[in-house]
Order: sequence, then structure tokens, then C-alpha cells
Amino acid sequence: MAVEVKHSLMSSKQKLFRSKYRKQVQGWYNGFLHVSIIYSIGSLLLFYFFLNLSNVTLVECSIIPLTFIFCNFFEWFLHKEVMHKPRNFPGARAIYSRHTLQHHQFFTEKEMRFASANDYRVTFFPPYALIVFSLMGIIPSLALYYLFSYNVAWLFLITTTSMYLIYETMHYCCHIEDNFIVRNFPFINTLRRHHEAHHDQKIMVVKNMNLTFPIADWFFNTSDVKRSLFGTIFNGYNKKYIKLNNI
Amino acid sequence: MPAKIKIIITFLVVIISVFIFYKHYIINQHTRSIIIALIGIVMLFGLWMLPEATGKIKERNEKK
Repeated sequence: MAVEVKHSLMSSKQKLFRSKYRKQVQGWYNGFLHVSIIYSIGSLLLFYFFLNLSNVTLVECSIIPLTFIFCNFFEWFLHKEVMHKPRNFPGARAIYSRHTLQHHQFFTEKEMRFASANDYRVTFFPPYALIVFSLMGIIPSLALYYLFSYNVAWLFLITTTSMYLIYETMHYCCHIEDNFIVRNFPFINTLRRHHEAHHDQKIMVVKNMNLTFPIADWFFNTSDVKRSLFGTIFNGYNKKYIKLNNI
Repeated sequence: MPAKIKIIITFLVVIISVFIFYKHYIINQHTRSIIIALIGIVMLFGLWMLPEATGKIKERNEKK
């Protein structure tokens, strides 16, 4: 018997979807194993990348903020153009189905919480996503190695892998029960409100596409709040600045 | 994830892991070669061992 969250405002449609989805998850699926694989791959990759760094200069470190911004815009683009639009290149349909047709039906603005570790299946990306992103990072890192230096290439890989793990962690924090830490931790509290608004099916394809820091959302005016960049990033749970015409 | 794409990813993971493992191994960088081997194994485990749930709602035609 699958566990469900208590005291929920979810509709009967969402409740039914959750129940049917859980029946589709094979019995031997283990949410903790799923998460362990993701963080094991990520941690081992980071450990390996750090081992290869030597005598890093301050100039070489400038690749970190540049990659951070690039990842933020890439995350926005991928979410908006692939996860919410059915595309025809290999694997794109699976991503769209998993995200729009499953994740967004399972979690709505009425009920953002998962009920148990078994629901990690619909909360976290499958492990192959990190593997694909790691493979995708090889070519730009080789280019950075030939153009700049060995350290720049490793720092690029460290930043992209870290951003992936930050994405998974912050997204997880969006789907847990409200508590003192997530309510008061900067960035996480902003993202929780930001992501909850995104799960409203009326605005999910146009607003709040960032899942880490809403920088690209501010830049492309796809944030549901009207604030400065600083205000958008540190908005927290504040609903005072929500735009009236978000749809 | 379609099996065809998984096979391609598996092929890339194996080739790249073995190549980097060998590169470190021949110059006696055993810690790095072990880490690369571990990364390759965990990646293959993650690709193939975790069950895929389709999440698709299929109504069963139950015949009595």
C-alpha cells in the first residue's frame, strides 16, 4: 500500500495520478539507492576533478563565475525548450514526458510534497541524466584545455558537476515539507516559492524556469515577480511583488 | 530512456573510463585509476540497474 501525504489540498485528479504512478514504479525500486547513485557519481567525479588541479591562479578561477552563469542560462533554456515542449531529437520526448506529463501531474501548486522515498522516482532525474551531462562536458573542457590551460578545463568540469548537484538538492528542497531550515535558508526559500508558482499548470510553460537561482528568469523577464535581480534572488516566500498578469 | 540510446551511452562510458584508467595506470597514478574505475562502475550500475517506471497510465482490460 503506497503512502500518501496527510492533510493535503490536492485535487482528486492529482490524487488519482499519484496513486496510478506509484503502481507503475516497479516493486524493487529504492529511492535511497536512486539518490545514492546520483550523489556517488557526482562526488566521485568532483573528487577526481579536484585531484587533477595544480597551482591554480586567480585568473584561471574566473572560469567559475562564467560557467556558473552559463549553467544558469542552460538550465533555463533546457527547462523551457525541452522539458516543457515536445521536441523530436532522440531522448527529448522521454524528457518531456517525464517532466511535463509526469512530474507536473504528480506535483501541483496545491500539493508539492512527496509522500515517501518511493516518490524520489518522480522527484530526481534518473542517473543517466548526470552521465549524459558529464559526457557533454568533455568537448568544451577539451576546448578550454587547448585554448587556456589544464586548470581552466578542470574548473569548468567542477563547476558544471557542482551545478548539477545543486540543482538536484535545491529541487529536492522544493518538494519537502515546510520547515524552519528551508523557510529561512536564503536561496532555498526563494526557490521554494518560485518553483511552487511554476507548478501552477496555468503558468508552467512560461514562468519560473530556473531551478537553482532565478537569474535567467530575471534576465528574460520570465519570473513571476517584478523585482531587481537582487530582490528576485533573495525574494524568499514574499508574495508582495508577484505580477498580476502572469499568464 | 530508449534502450538504443542507453547502449550508446554505455559504450561511451566504457570507452572513456577504460581510456582514462589506462592513462593513469601506466604512469602509476593508482588512486586516480581506481576512482575512474569506480565512476565507470557506478555509472553503468545507474544506467542499467535502476528500474525504469514509465509512469504512463495504462488501463487494463480485465476479462472476467
